[in-house]
Amino acid sequence: MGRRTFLKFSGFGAAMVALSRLQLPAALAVTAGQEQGATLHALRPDDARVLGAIADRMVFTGDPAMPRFGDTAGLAAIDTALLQLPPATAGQLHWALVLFEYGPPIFAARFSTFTGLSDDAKDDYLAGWEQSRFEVRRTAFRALKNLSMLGYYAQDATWKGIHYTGPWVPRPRRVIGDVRREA
Amino acid sequence: MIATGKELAGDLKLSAEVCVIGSGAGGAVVAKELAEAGRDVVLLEQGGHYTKEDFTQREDEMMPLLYEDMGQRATTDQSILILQGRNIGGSTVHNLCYCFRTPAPILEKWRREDGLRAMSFEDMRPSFERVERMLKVKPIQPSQVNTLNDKIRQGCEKLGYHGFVTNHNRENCTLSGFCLLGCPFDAKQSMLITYIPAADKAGARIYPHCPARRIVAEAGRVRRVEGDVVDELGRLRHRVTVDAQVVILCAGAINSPQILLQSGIANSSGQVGKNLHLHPSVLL
Repeated sequence: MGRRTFLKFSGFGAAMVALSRLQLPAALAVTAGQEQGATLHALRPDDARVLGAIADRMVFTGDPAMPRFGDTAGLAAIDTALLQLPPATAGQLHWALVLFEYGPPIFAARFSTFTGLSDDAKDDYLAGWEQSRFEVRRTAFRALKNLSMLGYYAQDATWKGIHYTGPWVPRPRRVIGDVRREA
Repeated sequence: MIATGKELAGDLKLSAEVCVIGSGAGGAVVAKELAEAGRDVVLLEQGGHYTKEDFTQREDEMMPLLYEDMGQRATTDQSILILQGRNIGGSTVHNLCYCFRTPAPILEKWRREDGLRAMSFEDMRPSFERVERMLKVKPIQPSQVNTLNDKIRQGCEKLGYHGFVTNHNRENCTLSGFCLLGCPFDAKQSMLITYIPAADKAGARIYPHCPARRIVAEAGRVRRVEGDVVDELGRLRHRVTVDAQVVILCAGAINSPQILLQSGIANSSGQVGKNLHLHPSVLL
């Protein structure tokens, strides 16, 4: 996520901000953040909900040995990582998620939010971002995919399914800064 | 002295003969050599000081700690990731330990096109050898080549491609394969366990969590470096100022020009921040 290049919104972004104010219904909303019961510090609740839904599709393989993203602490792992980014960069994620959530009417001709789409439609929508001819959309897709993978495969529960035996030096998880004490 | 929380608890106003910005392969070597030569050196590093006890071999914990932008720094089109370090020791803490001398054709190009006439391969040979001794550079042994890489080698040979097994700077390597997340066994002979301790021993004052923001020049001479003191999350805590007669900028091919541009100096050519060259690696 290049500091200067994650998203260059300009007027296009302003349109998305306007769209976000429409408060389109979010049927079938994913509440991964709440389900995990984790206290999030960097992600706003709405952002967590959208990112959870994106990550759920990004990491889904259909393998029953693999947990669903929402059943892991993946969002908390992403949240902790985001805390360590420059605030301006982390702030860009918010706008990327707004764009992503309210983009289906524009990018996929579907009058729905992303979280309101069926799983198949979500996958099609994601593929549209991945293969877009617009660099800004491809960049946002890469950033969201990387975050999803980072959060998901950081979870010990995912390792058995991919035959990963884990670190050689079992150590307690690091406490990053004083975040947990401030919470 | 490597500053810890106590020394970083307020605004810092330092003075030194030399202020080195960055503690990676460039800055650590410069700091050590100058400190051993009796110079008064202050070294500023934007990232933290993490040692083998901190390396948990977990990507979600180590990537934000050891890499710029959590390891997601990339070219504009996202096609090339730039795994740039941000900790004491810089990228040498997370790199894959492959050691090779600057190729003679590159040095020749620099001589021919950029006027670096005192940097022929033969001129550089004693310096290469000196650094290689310090880093314990040696050939990778056949027993250390894993099955995956051996298969790739065999495939390449069948296709008629030629290559070689390079040198590395590991000592008593456990072959755990977590090099990119920092070595918890101190097998990797990075700046963290070679040049930085030597600079420290020679009297250099080393300040982690102190990103330099600006080099201030007056009347055509460098006067001081201004920067921040941040916490582990990069949040501003205090300010740091280093009055110095000499500033050596070793913040890498991306951050060094960024600091020069922010400082408004050394850009009479208008080329600062342009013409970046990378040598990307491809993971198979």
